[in-house]
Amino acid sequence: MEDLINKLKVAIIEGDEEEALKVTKELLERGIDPKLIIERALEPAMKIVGEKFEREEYFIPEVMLAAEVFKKVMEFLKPHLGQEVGEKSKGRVVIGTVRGDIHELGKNLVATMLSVAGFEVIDLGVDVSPEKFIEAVEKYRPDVLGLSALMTTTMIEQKVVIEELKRRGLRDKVKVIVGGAPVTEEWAREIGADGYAANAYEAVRLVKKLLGVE
Amino acid sequence: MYTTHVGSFPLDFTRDNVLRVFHDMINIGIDYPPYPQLRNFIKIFLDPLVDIHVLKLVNSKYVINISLSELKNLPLPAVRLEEAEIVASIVKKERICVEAIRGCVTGPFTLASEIQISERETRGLFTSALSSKDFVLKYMTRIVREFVTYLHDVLGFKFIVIDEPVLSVIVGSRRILFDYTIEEISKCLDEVLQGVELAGVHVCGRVPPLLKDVLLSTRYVKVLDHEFKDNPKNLTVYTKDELEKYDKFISFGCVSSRKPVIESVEEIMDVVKRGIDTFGSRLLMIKPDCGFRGLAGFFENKEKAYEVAIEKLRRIVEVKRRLHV
Repeated sequence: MEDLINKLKVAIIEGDEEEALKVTKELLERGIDPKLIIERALEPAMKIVGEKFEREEYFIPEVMLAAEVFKKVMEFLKPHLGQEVGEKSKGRVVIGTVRGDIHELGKNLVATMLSVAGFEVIDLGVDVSPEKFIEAVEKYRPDVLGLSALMTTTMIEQKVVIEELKRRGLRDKVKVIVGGAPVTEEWAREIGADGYAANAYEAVRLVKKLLGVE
Repeated sequence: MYTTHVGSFPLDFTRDNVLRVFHDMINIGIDYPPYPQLRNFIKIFLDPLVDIHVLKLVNSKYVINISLSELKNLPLPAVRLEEAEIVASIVKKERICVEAIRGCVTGPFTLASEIQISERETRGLFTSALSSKDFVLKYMTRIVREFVTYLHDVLGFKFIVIDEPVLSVIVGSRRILFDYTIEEISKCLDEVLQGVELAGVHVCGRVPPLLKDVLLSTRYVKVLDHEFKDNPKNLTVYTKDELEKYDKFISFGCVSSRKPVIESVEEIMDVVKRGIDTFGSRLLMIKPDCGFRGLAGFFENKEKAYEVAIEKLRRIVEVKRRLHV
């Protein structure tokens, strides 16, 4: 089994979807607990991908491909997981790309990496209006709200959402984090966000720090 | 050493603003001023494709509106950029003398990344037109080439720069998304820029290792335009020897486009000196890291943001003056 687990790890790290699905199928056929497959192969593989990204061995394409394979394997495992999913959630995060912005690459990567790290993620998609963010905060009562903006013209919407949270008396009930290519630490401070992350791995660290979880 | 700017400013698009920005750049002493980009750098190149029904707009997303098997027979759009024409006419009328006007054109890969193949299933970049190599390499390349020819041959802008921010996203350290090869991307950039007097490529963000290979292997690209202020690690990407070997020059980002703080002349000077130490005489131009459009969000009105943008440019020119290179 160890051999197959290692093969699966390598396939994810290499972004090899075909091999990853083949090995996952074999592991299931051998009766290996899907939860174990996640803990022993998927999560460590994505951790290695993250380390490679931080060492600049990997860049965005390598991370994206690994994340895609991770998602595909998770989808494949889902029917075998039963009620176990979400049991160990470290916290709930609502995430979305702000109004007027249809970019989802960064947001999707953050969502995937947060899931890998054990958070429950509710992804509202792209072009999300402030009203929808507010509705989601009221409905899901998340610990963290993530606002993504890729365009210089739409980052202002992050401020609009935060202002709206204040106006509705919800600001103290949720931590707000912001990200996206034009966004900076200064901008996060300026608009009263609780934190800024430059990439998906920083986002995970930031959420953990804000919620005081490991 | 010369000065230039990537293109955008935080003002609304009006004829008066185009003239104002351009005159301000001339008065400051920018050697290669761009035509001011006051509109979205995707929209100005893709809207003409909506006009000829090659694309359609669905919920603000550009979606392909034709069969991809018809690529050879697809029409080309009417190629016009109002802001560029305003600049060309004023240069002629006022006999403005600069090294050259910088003509910014968004590249085929970045444009394709903003187009969805179908309106049914959209998964961002993965379902974008980037996934159709033929569409990018055969059609979008032709479109971009049309804009380059128009700016260079018709309007007389002799410094053409292809803006390709998406290349730092799809090109990595070992892989290129959608299975593009180094040769395909560099050939595409060459096709677009062949015959241009001074040709450049602007890619913001961190420059990945394979992108360096792509850009160095191009034949007609002379100027590599990157961020160095907010991405100081880019200083380790190229060596002076490599730039000499492949006959490339650096257009060096030395002030932040994302931060509203105006860097002091001394601070900019330090950044530029590090660039000179690394690239020597291959450091051809200094400029802001990227466009200034995003500064608008930091201020209550765009006028304030514009003042910051202009002051940053003014200080870049001052650094050039003090360095005497």
